[in-house]
Amino acid sequence: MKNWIKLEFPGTSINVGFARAAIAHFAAQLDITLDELEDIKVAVSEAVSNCVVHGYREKSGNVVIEASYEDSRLEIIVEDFGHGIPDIDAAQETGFTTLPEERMGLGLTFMREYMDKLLLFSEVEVGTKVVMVKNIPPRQAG
Amino acid sequence: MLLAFFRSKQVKWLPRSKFSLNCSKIGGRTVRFSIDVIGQALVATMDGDLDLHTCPQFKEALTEALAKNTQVKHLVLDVRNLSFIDSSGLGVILGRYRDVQARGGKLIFVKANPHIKRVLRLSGMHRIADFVDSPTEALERA
Repeated sequence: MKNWIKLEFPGTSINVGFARAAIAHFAAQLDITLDELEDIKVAVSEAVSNCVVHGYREKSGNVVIEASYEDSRLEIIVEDFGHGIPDIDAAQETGFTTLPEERMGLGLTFMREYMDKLLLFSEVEVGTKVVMVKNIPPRQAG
Repeated sequence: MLLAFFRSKQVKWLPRSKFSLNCSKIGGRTVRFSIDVIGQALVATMDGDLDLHTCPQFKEALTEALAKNTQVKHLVLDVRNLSFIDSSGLGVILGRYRDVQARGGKLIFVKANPHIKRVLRLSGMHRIADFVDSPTEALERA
């Protein structure tokens, strides 16, 4: 069975918690463990936080999240239409941040760690899209 | 001496000092915390989610408490009721760790659940902090 949702909201920090809770509720339709749900919440929180902090650091704009699953594959796409990333390779290095003021540069590292697949697309002054995949293994009944 | 002070209060939980601060933020998810000064330890008890939206209040309160209490060397974070943390929350904790490190102090986590521990481990925080099971144990190490 395939199912999907699409959310759009202003890229402000107050929506970070809403986004991870909403996607966790959607993912909970699958036969999913609490550990897997926590993984998804961390990954979504990091992705949306990056939209707010980096994508829209001096301007406002919306964040769009599309989540879908088919069988045991959950895909989450988080997109902003902000500044974009000039150097994607550098951005993916652990500890890299363009805003060193108490940012740890761990957002993408966490997304990669907590999800099974991570793809990053970005264009300067167009926006950034993160595609994350989590495979939910089938559970044995009982 | 710290333990004697703690036990003399005859409380089951950390006593509130005049430096206690409470904060809650409505919207998205909430973080609540109290901050107490016990001898040379600043003890922060946290409840809820610490993310991009909720961490500024926590950062401000910790920074203020550390500035006011120059005798404080150690930071004790009771995270038994902390349900979520991401890299934004970790950044605030790391920043305050640097403050207490400069005073020759320690960072101690009390009762971190497996999800919180995993985030802390992934960030490398486990290499700089102690993990204990009770506030009393934390004060013994402080």
